[in-house]
Amino acid sequence: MGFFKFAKTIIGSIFKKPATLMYPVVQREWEERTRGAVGIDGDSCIGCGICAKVCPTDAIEVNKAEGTWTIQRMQCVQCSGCVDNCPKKCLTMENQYTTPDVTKTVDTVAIPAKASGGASASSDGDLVCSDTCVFCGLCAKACPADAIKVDRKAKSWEVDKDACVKCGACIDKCPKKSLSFGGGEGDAGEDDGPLSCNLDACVYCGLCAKNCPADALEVDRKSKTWKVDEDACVKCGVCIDKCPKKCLGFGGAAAPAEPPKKSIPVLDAEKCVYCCACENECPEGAISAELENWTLDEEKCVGCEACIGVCPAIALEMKTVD
Amino acid sequence: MGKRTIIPFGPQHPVLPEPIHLDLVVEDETVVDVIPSIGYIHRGLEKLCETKDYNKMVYVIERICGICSFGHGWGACASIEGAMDVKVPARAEYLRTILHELSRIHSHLLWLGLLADAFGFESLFNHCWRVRETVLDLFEKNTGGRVIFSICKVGGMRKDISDENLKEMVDVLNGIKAEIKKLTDVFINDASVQNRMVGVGVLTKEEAEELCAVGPVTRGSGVYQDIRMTDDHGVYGELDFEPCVEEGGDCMARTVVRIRELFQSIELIEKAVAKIPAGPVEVKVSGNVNGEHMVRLEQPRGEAFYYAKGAGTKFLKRMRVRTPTNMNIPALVQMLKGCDLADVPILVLTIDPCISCTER
Repeated sequence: MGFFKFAKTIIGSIFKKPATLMYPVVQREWEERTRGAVGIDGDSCIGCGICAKVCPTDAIEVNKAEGTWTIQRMQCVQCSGCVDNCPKKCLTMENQYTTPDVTKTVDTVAIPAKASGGASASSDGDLVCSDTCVFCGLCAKACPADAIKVDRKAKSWEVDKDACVKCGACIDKCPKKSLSFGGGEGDAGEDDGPLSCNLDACVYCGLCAKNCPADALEVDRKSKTWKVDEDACVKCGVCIDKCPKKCLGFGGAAAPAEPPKKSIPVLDAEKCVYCCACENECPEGAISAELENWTLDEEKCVGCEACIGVCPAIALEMKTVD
Repeated sequence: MGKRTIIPFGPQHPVLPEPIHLDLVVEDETVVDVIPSIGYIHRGLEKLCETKDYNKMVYVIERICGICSFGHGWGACASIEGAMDVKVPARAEYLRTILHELSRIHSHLLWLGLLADAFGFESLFNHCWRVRETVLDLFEKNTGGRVIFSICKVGGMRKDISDENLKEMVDVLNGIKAEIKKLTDVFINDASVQNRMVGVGVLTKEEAEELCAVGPVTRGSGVYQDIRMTDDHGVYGELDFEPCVEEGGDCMARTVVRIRELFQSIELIEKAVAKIPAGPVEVKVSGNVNGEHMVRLEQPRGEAFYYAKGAGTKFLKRMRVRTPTNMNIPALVQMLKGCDLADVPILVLTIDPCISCTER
């Protein structure tokens, strides 16, 4: 209780610099994450219109025929939803605000009138699927516009041409490369036998089962079993790509021609926060992440890279060993 | 006994950041009755939500209020997640709790400034807002927005906040602790402040309970109630949370509750940062809302209520938000009865009115 309790602070601040900046003479430095204004790289835009669809305020308009991308700056609320959903990553959130204006600014950016480029090569025609399709459904999962319908049982693949925005996301995801725009042909699937595993080389790490889009694989590390449900298997080959020991293959005896060079994770001790995520994730129990003492049992490590994926601090890196 | 006169107060008044109208029935200098009326800032946001995809709707809900926008976004996401049976990863829950407490600090500092402004202490007002600026900078660095964060989404968080940034956040908050202490000591100890606040506008415990007051208003009247300890939102259960309760029931008690909550929030953030687990911050959500769910959150102003109902389409059938000020207006009317006309501005301010929230 008393009077003039604040006098000391007030007198003190007479002799201090002002807390404010002399704007606009002194410019503020913006943070990296500051959502200032939406920017676009018009050249790589394919005019798919997903940005216009996800915009909560309908501030964006895409006219593919005329080749324009228009944003109403006053209507945009900088939620950055368009940036997150852009399949071509041509939209960016710049940390600089637009300059103040006395009228409602509308910015128009020229984009290629006829979409081109990217993974989609010639995206003039409609999306088609060749007969190498294994109906795995990864394209439907990747489609941002939900335009593709795949039914594995009925072996049907359909695209809703009105909904398709020709972004090419499905083409990038297709494991059999059977999708294309306008009648392109995918690589013919050469391996046609059932999926098999060379059990001598297999370490039962389970990465194949984890990545199978059809849930056709079953791996039990404890009982050392590896099973494939041949009816469910769509022969997409994702498991073969993911297998760290290269013991999977189509058709009969699939043995690795020559074991690939072994690679093991290496720790950057400065980045490591000893959260033990790698230890918990390692299918072989090769990692021990005690505080300040991270060790790897190289004998046990199968180089599956599971630890790399879970490390929150990005402290692990794969290095090839002889 | 003097002659009864009706004095209109608001919707435009120097202490009111937002429009509310009060008809003050005064006898001499004493207020004997109050008739509140709202409806100057209704925007129809609940109806707007029904015409937007539920993912876009979160951005609308966030804009209900500029001060407790994070809580509104969280409430909307949590109610939709509940209706869809989506479990949010632990790290996302921690991040939400941290950001929610951070917005409590920013809200209470803003309010302390406004209170100082209401009784004419301009320099105290400016210093409160100067300290608040530090918190806004933290928000900008970590979420990208100073007031509207747009970081919450159905299924988790849109961006992760790195552990280094979280640690830096704790360091910055601990750094401004001393400054906040200097400011809040003035509120608690200065005689000129006490003359305006001690014993003014007493709301007894019984009245607070009967009128269903919420938040710091009810805790200032000695009611042991805080949604953070009763409901299961966030990770408050793991942070040894204990509500701040004061017995006085007057303006001073409500101010002290908020001052104590400022320091408590800094402590909660520190504890949460120490415990935050690693892992993903979002889960993939697909399909449409089919079902209903109710969520309660403790906003800086008190308990807020969110209700979402969907019928299998991407548009919600109903999104209902009940905000804390809505519940505190009856308590305000009770406080105002019998007070001096000159005390009305301060009393209106001590419920921390947020009229945009109330009318949506």
